[in-house]
Amino acid sequence: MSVRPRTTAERWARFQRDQETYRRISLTRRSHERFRRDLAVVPHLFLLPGRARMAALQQPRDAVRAALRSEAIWTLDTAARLLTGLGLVTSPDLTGYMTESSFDRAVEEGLIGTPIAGGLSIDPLYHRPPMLIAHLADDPPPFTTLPSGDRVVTWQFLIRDIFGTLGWRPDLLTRLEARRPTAGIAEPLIT
Amino acid sequence: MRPPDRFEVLELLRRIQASPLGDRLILAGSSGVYGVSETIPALTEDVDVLVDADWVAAEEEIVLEHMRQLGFQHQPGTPTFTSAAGLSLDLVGYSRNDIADRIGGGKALPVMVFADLSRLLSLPGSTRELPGGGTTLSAATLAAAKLLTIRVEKGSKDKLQALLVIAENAGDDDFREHLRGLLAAFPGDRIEDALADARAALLAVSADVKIAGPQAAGYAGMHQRLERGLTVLQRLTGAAEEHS
Repeated sequence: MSVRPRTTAERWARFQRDQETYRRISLTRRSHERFRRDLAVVPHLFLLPGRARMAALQQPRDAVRAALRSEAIWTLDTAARLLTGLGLVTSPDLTGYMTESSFDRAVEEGLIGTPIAGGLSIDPLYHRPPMLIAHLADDPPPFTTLPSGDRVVTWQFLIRDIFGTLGWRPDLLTRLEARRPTAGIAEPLIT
Repeated sequence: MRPPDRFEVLELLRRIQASPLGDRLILAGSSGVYGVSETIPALTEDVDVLVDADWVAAEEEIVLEHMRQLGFQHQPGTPTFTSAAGLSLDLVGYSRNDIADRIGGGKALPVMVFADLSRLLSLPGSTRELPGGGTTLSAATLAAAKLLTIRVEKGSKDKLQALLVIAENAGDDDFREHLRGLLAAFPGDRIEDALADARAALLAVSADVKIAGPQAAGYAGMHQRLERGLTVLQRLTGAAEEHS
């Protein structure tokens, strides 16, 4: 609380300012056709503190992906690339769900380096080496298996993960949905 | 001034109930959380009580005198009263005569009058009696008020408190029906924006408390309860039926 309580007139002025700000936010939201539909989405936090781990890839990305094929369930950028051929972000990471033991095994087998304590982000503001970003989960999220053998989260769960990680991104979601495979899976373009 | 704890707030309501202001003041705002939950932190620095602004306009001197007798000194030009014990109490106005945002009350004691609160308090079951004495907003009304509150700086906190109240009462059929009815009394676009705001607040506080802001940071670590509240809110508002 400030030293001097705000007068009622000051509160009124602030309320009017806030109303105008809200009106602009509301109009911006509604400028996207998908606004109402997206209200149904419950975000899922892939980078949930305490659950997310990150470590630099020690081998080529495709090799790590292949090595973890039976243990990881890919999501976000990795799943988007596998499903649509189009990524979400520029950072060339692998993003997926796995158990803690799978993650530890990836360290032991030299697929990834020592886990990094900070800087957890799928869209860093700086260039860093390619990472494996894992959400450690004992119960796997719903997934589908691709002809390649890679497992990816279901489309609905991918949308939830995008919401929970990047926030509401109508531009990105619209672009992604336009490439959603209607029958079967798009040719994987992981590179 | 210092943040009031739950005991202090409820004790103050008991004293108000025993005073001539007893049936006039309704515990609300973030301090209203103390009236509906024993587990949700209110994270507030003052006590908000609702008052009929038209009654304040007519009985201004009486209000000021009764507040003096309760140990509160009025801060001129404000709706704020402070006590020697360090409590700060704000009057927040509603009206039974109109549903409009405006400044009401009297010349010495002007109070903000909020259309949303006026509408909510005109609906059945808006308040309930506290076991120890005093009146508070009902859980559903508090949740609705918090969802609809418009303020930039502390907006996230309002939405998070609403989600926590909803999550805590999610198993109560009466609560859910009450809240559904309250929200139905408002235009659909207001509810859609409230839902979008609540989701944004949940994301911010769960992912990055620095982005969420200091007012909301105290709710970090309550992710599962917040997500539960959002899921119930989506069902109540029909948003969950808009699945692609």
